[in-house]
Amino acid sequence: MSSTLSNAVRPDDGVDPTMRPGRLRPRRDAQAPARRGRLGPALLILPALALALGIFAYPLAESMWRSIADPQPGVQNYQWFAASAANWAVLGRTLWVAFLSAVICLALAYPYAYFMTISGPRLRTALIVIVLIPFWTSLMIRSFAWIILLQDTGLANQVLSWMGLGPFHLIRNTTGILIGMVQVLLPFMVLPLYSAMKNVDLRLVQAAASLGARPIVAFTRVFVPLAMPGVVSGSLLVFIQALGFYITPALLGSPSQMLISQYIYVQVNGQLQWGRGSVLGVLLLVATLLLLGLLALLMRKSRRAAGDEGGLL
Amino acid sequence: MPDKTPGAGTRIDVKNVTKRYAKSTAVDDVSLSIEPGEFITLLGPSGSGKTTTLNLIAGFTELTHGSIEIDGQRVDHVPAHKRGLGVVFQHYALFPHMTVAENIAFPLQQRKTPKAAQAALVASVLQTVGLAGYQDRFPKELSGGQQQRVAFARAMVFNPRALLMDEPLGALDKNLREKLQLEIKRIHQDVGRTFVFVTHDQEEALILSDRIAIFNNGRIEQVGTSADLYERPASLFVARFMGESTVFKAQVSSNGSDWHMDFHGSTLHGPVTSTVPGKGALVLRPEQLRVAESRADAPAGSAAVPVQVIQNIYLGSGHKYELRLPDGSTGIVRTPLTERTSLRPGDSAYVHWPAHQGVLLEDNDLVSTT
Repeated sequence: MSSTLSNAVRPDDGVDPTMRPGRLRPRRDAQAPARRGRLGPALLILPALALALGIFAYPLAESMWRSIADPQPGVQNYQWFAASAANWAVLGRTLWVAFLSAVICLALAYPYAYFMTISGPRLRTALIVIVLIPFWTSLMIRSFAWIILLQDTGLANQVLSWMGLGPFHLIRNTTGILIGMVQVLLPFMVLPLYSAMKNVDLRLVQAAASLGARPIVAFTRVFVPLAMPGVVSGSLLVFIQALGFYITPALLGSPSQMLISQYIYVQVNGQLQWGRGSVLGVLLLVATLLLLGLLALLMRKSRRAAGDEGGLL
Repeated sequence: MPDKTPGAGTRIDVKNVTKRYAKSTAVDDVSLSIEPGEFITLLGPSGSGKTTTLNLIAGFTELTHGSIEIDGQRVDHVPAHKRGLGVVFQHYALFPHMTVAENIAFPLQQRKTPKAAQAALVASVLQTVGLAGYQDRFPKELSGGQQQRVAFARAMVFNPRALLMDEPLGALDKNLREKLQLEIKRIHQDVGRTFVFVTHDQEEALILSDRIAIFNNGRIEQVGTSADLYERPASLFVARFMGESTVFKAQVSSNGSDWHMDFHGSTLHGPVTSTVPGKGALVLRPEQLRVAESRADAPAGSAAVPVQVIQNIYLGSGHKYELRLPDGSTGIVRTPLTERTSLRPGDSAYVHWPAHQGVLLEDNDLVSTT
């Protein structure tokens, strides 16, 4: 995550993007200096490795184990999940809300990031700061603020009623969840998009015009495909984070329209059903991996054109 | 669509065009008439306005003043995609996410060419540029020279009214560049279209062009054939930019029919053919000069200036001398093998030439060469 961010906010070198020389040929990094001291760097990754194994791999293995071993060995937890339509509904709703968050973020972030690429360095810095502001406030405070703004008698509905609209129920439902999640997740869409867009050689758009392409055609056939890696990584970041959101849906959503992380909490904390909670976690993981696999399959062709220089997939 | 008859090129008129940016003037009142079917090169050092002029013709840049006409029609407010010109860029500008065939078919798709005709045109133009069989490669899978051929094919395939090329060979190594120069020249002769070529390489300009426009500081110094520019340069800048020269600088006086200058004790003179400048610069090409060991060895009536030999280089085809002139500047002389001398570095000698030769120009250098 942090590497994505630091890439995206790397200060621009002030070079006019249209003047960037030869982006089209792959640059080979110089051979790494010799092979001496291999052990040093290897030791340095140990803390990170230990942390990853300790706080990610072990709990993952533990919950997989519990899904078939708690309270007693067997597949009864999976049977419990499969037997209830309400369980499927929670999983489906979670995937759907995450998908909607990604789509809404993309729709909002795409023009924003594009505007960042074509604006001057000062305006661009301002736009980055604006998009990062949500990071400066705690998630809880923001969610409570949304409750005040969005409740039936809140500011949003007051404004709407002056315009002769509403009142609308904007919280305690999926709308509320989406409003809260999109605000939190927008930077995760804007930054990878901007990062990808600023690497698109705008001279190619000019070349398309010289070949007879109208501006809209030059944009959709040249700019959009070349910025696609940003769309993919931004959407993945948003989608996967949205799957695991707990606080925002808990505060802005409704108990009758629970998302999976709330449901896991209910099973584990409320009913002490560790096995069932683990099943929900495992199924969420499997569903996510299946979607990622599908996406990787779809990305095959663009990989060859990029000369196999790795993207996120 | 422009018609396909060879020789049916397009006329381009650049009329009093100025392009100003916030702090600078890139192109300053440039006028240029490009004849149908002509191969014209815009030649000049970097920042001289040649590429901006090409971008103005292509429609990538809005002009500040003046007008541009293609076949007599004003196009300066017509967007690039409606001008029907092919453009080849130094950086190739191939679409990396499309195969060679998709790249080349792109302009045909914009023109709604039927699918079958597209395939035939792509195959035929790939044949022309020597890349048959490469249609399914991606640009990254090609060498620089191959990419530039694809770029060339893509700019040619829709039979554009004219082909504009912005230093298309600048990124290639010397051997490949020379090979592609000949190919470009051949294709120009085959298709008979108007070609506008931008380069900073005067040798490349000489090889390719029917005419050359020399750019300097946003202005055109001179337009002409290679011979015009070499033999009759209109300014000291052109004389220096096109090939080697020896320059004698001094105050000039005139009696109406002849001009005279006193160059550090040597009297130089010639017939008046145009306005005589006050501060003059007499330009002679290396082939026009000869070297003599003493004043007496120079033919009677010739102009002669004492010099010191810096180098005497044997070239096989002849000798090349580098000489120190009395004002400290360097002179260059090329002589055939039949006129051997035994001059060595450090020797005193005379450089001489038939007195009527040379081109007298205004000395507009800001700082004198010392």
